Amino acid sequence: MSELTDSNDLGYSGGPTKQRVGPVEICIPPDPRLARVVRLAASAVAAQIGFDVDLIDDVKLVVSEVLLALVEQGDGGRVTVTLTGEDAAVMVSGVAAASSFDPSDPGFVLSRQVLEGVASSHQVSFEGGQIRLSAVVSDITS
Amino acid sequence: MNDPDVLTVTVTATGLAAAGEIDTSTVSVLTVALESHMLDSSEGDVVLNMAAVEFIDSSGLRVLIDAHRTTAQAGRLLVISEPSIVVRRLLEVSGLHTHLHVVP
Repeated sequence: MSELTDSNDLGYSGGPTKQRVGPVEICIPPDPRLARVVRLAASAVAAQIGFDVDLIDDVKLVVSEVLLALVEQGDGGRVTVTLTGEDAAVMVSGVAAASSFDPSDPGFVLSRQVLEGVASSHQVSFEGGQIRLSAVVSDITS
Repeated sequence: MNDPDVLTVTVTATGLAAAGEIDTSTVSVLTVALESHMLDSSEGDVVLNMAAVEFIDSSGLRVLIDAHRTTAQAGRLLVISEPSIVVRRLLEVSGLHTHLHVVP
């Protein structure tokens, strides 16, 4: 009888793990309907590193806010989102081309307010005609 | 290519009930339903049941804020009833749970 020595053999990690998942890079046109696709991918990355349902919901929310901000502030071109799961944390980073950036836009302010409440850290930059927005959701219990 | 199953808003005996996911691609469904309901019922609270909402982001919050303002201007109240865990979470992290009228 074979003995299982690695719980990942069963595809179940049994909680937050140190394994790295990704980076998964998704490049999409600025179509709001595609936000669901990115949320699904983010859910999978978060589940792979053992996040529970509440943390997966937080990751989905962060992804949605990052996408929303980039689509609204961007030039209407493609948006690239990169998802990485590592060390009980999921990092979501996005980039979009933009000719200008208005950090005082009410919609953007609300998105940042949400990111501040959900993510353990987040960063915004506008340089070289690109807006970059990244956020990390951590499992602080691990 | 709208997916009608992603978000549905139905008229109930007490007001409106939203079910599904509220994001930028679906939020217009909620906006239209709230506007229609406010026109159809010219007085009393506007009750929005959010027990079956599985996802909401700040695009949904914006609609709730706008509806809150519109109803207040008309001397009415927007009541968010039975918010699901994800709705409650978003209201709390945004600080809006103290501004909007939420009932368990």
